[in-house]
Amino acid sequence: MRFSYHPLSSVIVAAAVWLGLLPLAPLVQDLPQVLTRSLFILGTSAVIGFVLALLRAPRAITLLTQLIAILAVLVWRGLALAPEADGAVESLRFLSADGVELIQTGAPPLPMEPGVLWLCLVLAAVLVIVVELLVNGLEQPAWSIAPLALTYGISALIISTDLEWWLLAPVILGYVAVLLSVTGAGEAAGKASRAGSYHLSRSLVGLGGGAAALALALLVALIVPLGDKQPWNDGGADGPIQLSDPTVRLDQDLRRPTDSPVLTYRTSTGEPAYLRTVALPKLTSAGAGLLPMSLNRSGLDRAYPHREGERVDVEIQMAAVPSEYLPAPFAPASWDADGAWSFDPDTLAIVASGDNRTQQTVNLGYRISSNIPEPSREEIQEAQAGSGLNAVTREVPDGLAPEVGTLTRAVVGDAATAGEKALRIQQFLRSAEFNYSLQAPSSSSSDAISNFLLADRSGYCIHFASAMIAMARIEGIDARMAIGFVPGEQQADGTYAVTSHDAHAWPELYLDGLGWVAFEPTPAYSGNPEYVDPSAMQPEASPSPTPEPTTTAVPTPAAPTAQPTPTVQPTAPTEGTEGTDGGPAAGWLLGVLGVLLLLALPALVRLGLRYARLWPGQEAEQAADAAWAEVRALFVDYGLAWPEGSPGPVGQAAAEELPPQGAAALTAISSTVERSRFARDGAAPTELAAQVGALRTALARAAASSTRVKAVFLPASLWRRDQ
Amino acid sequence: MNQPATPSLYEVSQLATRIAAEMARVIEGKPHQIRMAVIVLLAEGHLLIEDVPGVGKTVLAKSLGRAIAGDVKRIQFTPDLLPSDVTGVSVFNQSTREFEFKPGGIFAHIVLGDEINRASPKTQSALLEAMAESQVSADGKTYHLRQPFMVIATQNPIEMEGTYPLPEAQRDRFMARITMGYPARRSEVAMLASHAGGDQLMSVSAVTDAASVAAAIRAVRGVFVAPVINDYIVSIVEATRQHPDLRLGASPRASLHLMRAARVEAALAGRDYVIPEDVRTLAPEVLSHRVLPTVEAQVARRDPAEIITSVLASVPTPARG
Repeated sequence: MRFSYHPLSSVIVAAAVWLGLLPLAPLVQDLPQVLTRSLFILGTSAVIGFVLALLRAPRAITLLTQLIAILAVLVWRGLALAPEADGAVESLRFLSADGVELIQTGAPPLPMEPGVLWLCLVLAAVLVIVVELLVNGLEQPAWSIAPLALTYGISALIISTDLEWWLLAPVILGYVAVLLSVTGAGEAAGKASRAGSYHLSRSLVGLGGGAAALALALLVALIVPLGDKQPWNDGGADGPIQLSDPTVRLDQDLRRPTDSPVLTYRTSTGEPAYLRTVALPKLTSAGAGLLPMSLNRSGLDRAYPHREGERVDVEIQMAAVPSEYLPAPFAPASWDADGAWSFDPDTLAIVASGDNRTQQTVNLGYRISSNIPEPSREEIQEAQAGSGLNAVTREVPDGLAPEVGTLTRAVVGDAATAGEKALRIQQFLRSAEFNYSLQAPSSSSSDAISNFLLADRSGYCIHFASAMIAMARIEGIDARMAIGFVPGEQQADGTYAVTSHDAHAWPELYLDGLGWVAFEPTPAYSGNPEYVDPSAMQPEASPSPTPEPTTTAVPTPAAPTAQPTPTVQPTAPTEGTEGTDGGPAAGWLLGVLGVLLLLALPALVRLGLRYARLWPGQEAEQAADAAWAEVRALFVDYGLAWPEGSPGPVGQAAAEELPPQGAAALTAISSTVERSRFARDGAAPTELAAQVGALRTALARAAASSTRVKAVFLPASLWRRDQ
Repeated sequence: MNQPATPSLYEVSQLATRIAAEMARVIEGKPHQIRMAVIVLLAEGHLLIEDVPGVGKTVLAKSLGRAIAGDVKRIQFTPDLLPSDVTGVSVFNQSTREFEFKPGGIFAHIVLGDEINRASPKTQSALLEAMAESQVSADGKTYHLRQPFMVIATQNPIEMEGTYPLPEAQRDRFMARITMGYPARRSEVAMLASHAGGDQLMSVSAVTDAASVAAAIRAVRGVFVAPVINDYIVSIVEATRQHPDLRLGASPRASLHLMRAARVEAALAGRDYVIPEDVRTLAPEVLSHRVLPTVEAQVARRDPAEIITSVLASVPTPARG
């Protein structure tokens, strides 16, 4: 006997998969619930496998029954978990989308919401089916380590350093149990390994198993956001990052909390510096907002090509304020700070990505090296608009009054270059026509920018910045809003002290050859004297209000957000919210299921044919003829020669090539069929199905495993009809 | 005569095996011909052996007769042989003052008609009539022939001198025709060695008796021929009539003979039903002497047996009627 089909093997497989779920512990909050709920699915598989093995059912039948039953249980559990029932498919889709969204937005350990539980159950179902297929279908139990270790792999990828090593123990325990349940394999393998086809089939199965595991891993990677996190990158804990929303809203008055120290810094040059936290590329008539970021750990010094400028090293000491961005002079080239930090190549924002990320800046002392670009006025005047950026930074906000365009053209006048236009817009905004005020423009109209430019002409920094961005975009110049701090006041020891009142927003315009150039349209601030027209400078507004974005804007540590916080999806490079939708993920699942179904189609058709042929309800003659057709199809499936002639002689001739059990079964079948056709009183076909089954078992045992797999999944009898 | 109970087909098969084994002791290297002789015997047919002189035709017939402990009579057909020599003649008995029937050579279990094609057509037809009907009519009285009754006629190839070839209608009455062929060299050497010890035929002993053979024949009649097999036989015979290489196909009697021979073939395999293979195996022997190839086929030296084989290939094997 080549391979023993132990009745308990399905039970052991289910137990091994159950053990294999334990490494999910760091990822979900309520693992016991997953373990208990998955018992339904695994138990179904185990019981069906056990009973059908006792009944000596063909393995293909067992596997198919298990598959159907597991899917049924899965759907049942899913419908029970789904909150609403407007169609089963819709409910499950909603559930999956829910789970995928939670996985992508939440940081582990995830709360045990129905969606997450459902996905865990799907994982358990897929694992048990794959392991069953490997162990009892393909008879390659050694490869079951791949699916069994999958959960550990997922946990390891997401949790890396914090993953307890002993979580691998249940996986190994389950794997060993599976191997032990497969008795006799060693001897048979030793015998069979002398055949070249054995190695070939082993290699094929190995490749197939590896490909399947890889596909599964890719699928998981699509759902679970890993970012650039690699297991070999020692960067501390990582996970889905939830950024506070630094959106600035234009229609709110500036509320200034009490002035409190935020940080002190010292530059290597001794000069003051604008400290920038993040840039908001999106501008609507209501405010400015973030785009999804794709976070990287390394390569900051290569992320921004425009490096001309003064090299400045800054030592910064944060006060006890939480923030998830590192304030840094533009453009940072490297950082040296405790904790896990990543950067967004587009905005060059340095983002906390550690475990306790919102607290990462508390009392943090760090160093930043930056190249601070200091373009001269002439360079700016000659610069043209840049190109090749995300189209968002050139999008004129919707609903802008047409007069803004007219105004912009009037302001720009005959300026030939983008740089010249930018300077004129800045000059216009800094002119006496505009008033610095802590009051937002009147909010009678929803369009604050138009109001600010056309009517009120009074606001604080973000209005000036938004106005300049809008006008620049009208002129086809890429522009975005930088958030950060003005340099602050120099202390006696040469450091600069930045307080919460120093929070500021300013526009950055993208100019060809110069990159992002910071402008200062807010009249109360001096900015870079090189190109901020000194003649247009107003005396600082008393009492030197250092404005701050609204309470919802949280680049500053002072104002905790009260708004729901949309999240940044580091793996989704574009704004399209594919990940949170869940549709594509469910589509993937459906696609994979579809491909699996397609691959299994020949096997299923063949199985159906076999059942039809061996159907017990047939007339005796039909049953005999159909059984004979099945025998013939089996021979074709296994690539065996089929002698010419009527059943009796054919059976005898073919039996000579078969091992004894198969030969006995074939002789018996052929004799029954022959009697049915030619003898006076036929023969009862009651034993035929069992005999055909015995013959198939014998053929399968005698065949190389590649032949066996081919006979099951690509049965040649479906398309070869050599009558 | 007490009739033994009808034997089982297994016993028939054993009987045939014993007979063949006994015959094989004196006929070296010709198992196929021996087997055909036994089949024809059990199928109540007659055998035509066509070959050059001296290849063992007579020995085959005699050994068969001895093996079944039956009477063997030999009729040497010569041009001057009279029909009454074959069937018998009524002679006036002076003492009883009655006509007494003196049975001819045909009253035996095995009749060896040697060189049947040397006799006149009239004598030939007397023999063939008796073969067909298993009875002889003389002077208004009918005499039944003995059972089993089998004529083994030998015939020299018609190209030889002084022969009257059997007409088609008469060849048709033989169930099968075989040729002996020259023995293999080794067999011929062995034959010489064994003949050194005297008459080999004497060493053939009876392994059964005529009554048992008759019972076996009855048993064979019980072999079932499924309608699909009958259909198959007719299809084959019909195909000989359509075949382009044949100007004369096989007769309905050919179908009958083929069916009966196939029944024996099945019985010898221990089956109580005929399968297509039984028919296929015997078709060349049963059909090839009944068909006449066209001139073109003769010129192309296409053997009738060869043509029958091609006919078999063209007729689909029956699956289910």
